[in-house]
Amino acid sequence: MSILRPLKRVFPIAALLAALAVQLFFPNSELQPTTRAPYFTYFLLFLLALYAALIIVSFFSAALAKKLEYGGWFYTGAILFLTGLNIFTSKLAVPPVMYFPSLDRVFGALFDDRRLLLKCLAHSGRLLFFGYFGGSIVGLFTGVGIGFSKRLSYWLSPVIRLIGPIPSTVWIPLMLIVFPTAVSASAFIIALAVWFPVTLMTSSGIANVPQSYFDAGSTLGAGRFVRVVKIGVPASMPHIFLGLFNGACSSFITLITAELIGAKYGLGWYVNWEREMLSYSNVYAGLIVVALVFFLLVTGLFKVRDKFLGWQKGVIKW
Amino acid sequence: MVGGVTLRGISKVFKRESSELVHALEGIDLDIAPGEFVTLIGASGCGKSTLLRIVAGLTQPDSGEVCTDGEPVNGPSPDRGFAFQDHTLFPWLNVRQNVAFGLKNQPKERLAALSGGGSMSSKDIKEQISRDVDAWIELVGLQGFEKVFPHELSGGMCQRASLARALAAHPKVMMLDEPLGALDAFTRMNIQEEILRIWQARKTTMIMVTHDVDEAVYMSDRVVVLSPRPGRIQEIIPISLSRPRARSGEDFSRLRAKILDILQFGGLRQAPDYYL
Repeated sequence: MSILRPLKRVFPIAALLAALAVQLFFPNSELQPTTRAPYFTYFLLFLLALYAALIIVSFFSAALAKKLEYGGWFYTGAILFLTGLNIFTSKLAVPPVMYFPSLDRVFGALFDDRRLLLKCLAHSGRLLFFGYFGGSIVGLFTGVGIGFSKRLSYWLSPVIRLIGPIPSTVWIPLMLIVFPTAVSASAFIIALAVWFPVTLMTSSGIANVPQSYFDAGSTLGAGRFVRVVKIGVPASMPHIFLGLFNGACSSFITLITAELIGAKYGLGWYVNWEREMLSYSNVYAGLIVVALVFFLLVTGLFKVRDKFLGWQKGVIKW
Repeated sequence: MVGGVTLRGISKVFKRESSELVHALEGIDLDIAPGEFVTLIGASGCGKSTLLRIVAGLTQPDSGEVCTDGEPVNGPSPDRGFAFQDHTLFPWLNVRQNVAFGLKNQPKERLAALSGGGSMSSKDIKEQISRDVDAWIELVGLQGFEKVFPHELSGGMCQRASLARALAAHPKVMMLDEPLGALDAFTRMNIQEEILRIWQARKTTMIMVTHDVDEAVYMSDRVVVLSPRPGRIQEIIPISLSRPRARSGEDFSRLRAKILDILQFGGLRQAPDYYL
């Protein structure tokens, strides 16, 4: 294993070279329409340059070296999978080329349509931002309210149980009438989708805080407000983050669905519109952007969790 | 001198789920002088902890009244500190933040009054808190662990931090609900010394619950023996040994034997006529 370890860092390079060899020396099937430029080749060259640079830096950074060694097998696997896909679609054109365009065409669409994609990204980003933060903040307050106030719990818990489980996209027809614009309606629906898990997890988190923390707090002179804000909320943070995480997932689903109706731009709209145009290379380009964006958002959320919940190592695991 | 506690006719009944009534405490009368160290001892289920919680204001008695320095107790207050059986340190705060919690979150007027005068600016108060916290951390021997979170500490260290947290809030009466019960014998003796040292320096009234007769004799001015169901005061034994005390000796053993006798563990017990 000790010989393998530094090698693991280099395997992805070998895989990239193999992928390039397949791409360059194995001609695309004649069934696949040609593209203006070999975009997938460019993409592979870009990855090769990026990874080579990382390897050079890793000689000076032990942390990066460790990361690259850890990820080595996965990166290699991912590149080989992409190459397999390349052979299957571009080179041999086994599935119908209309629905399974060559990787050159997919990356070409990503490049040619970049302006429209960026505009869609901005549009979706705005919806997601207002919907997600609006829903989380309101959810946090309702959750804390239900967790601490018997009266609020009496009035709100049944309502939450009634409204919460309804997929929020069901509200679209009503919201389009109630709200002046499609954008505000969509943002509200996303907020609703986030609000439910955040409220539920926050209130259940507070219900699970050991009474002894509140007892300790009150013998130390903490009043009701301090007990809520400085004991109840931090103690239920692990639950709240689960709620925020579930909320993020349902906000993504809702975003894409909400954009199918009444939207003029947006990633969901883009994918759907291109599908109707039967332009599948653009559909995949849109999906790549969606996947990347959601991946980055979820990774960011995990980073925030690690920063705020370092204390729960060895206390709670999820 | 502040920190006197008066209990008059304290009774508490709990209802089990089978709606069977459990008389936890019945007619408890007790006077604790300011600066006194009193230990409550008795079989489990005799209501010792309940009594302690009632004095702290965490549990309401069904009848009777608790007063500290003549003021009736209506609820928890930073004047009456509490060290719990579990350390109850807040896991999301490090040692320093835990110890500072009471000082940072109690009413500002109380803090200003404690630091001698109402003319302190908030900056002065902040600095005072910071100095106090450092002093307490040093006093319980946790220097160097200020930034460490509770889950990385040993049980004894957690209990030390918990004591520092409770004492740093400037209580007039300190309740100790078997805080050393879960610790090994050596750690236990070390922390007992620390508690005695702090008690002698601060003259805080201490009310401790324990199962350990040695601990009771070693630490207290008076030992209150409670009888179980209903919890009543069976006997109060003054411990007039001079301090610092030894953990052995003729007088120590005599007092220890006497308490064990009251608890019906004294002498040779007849072997039970069944075998496990």
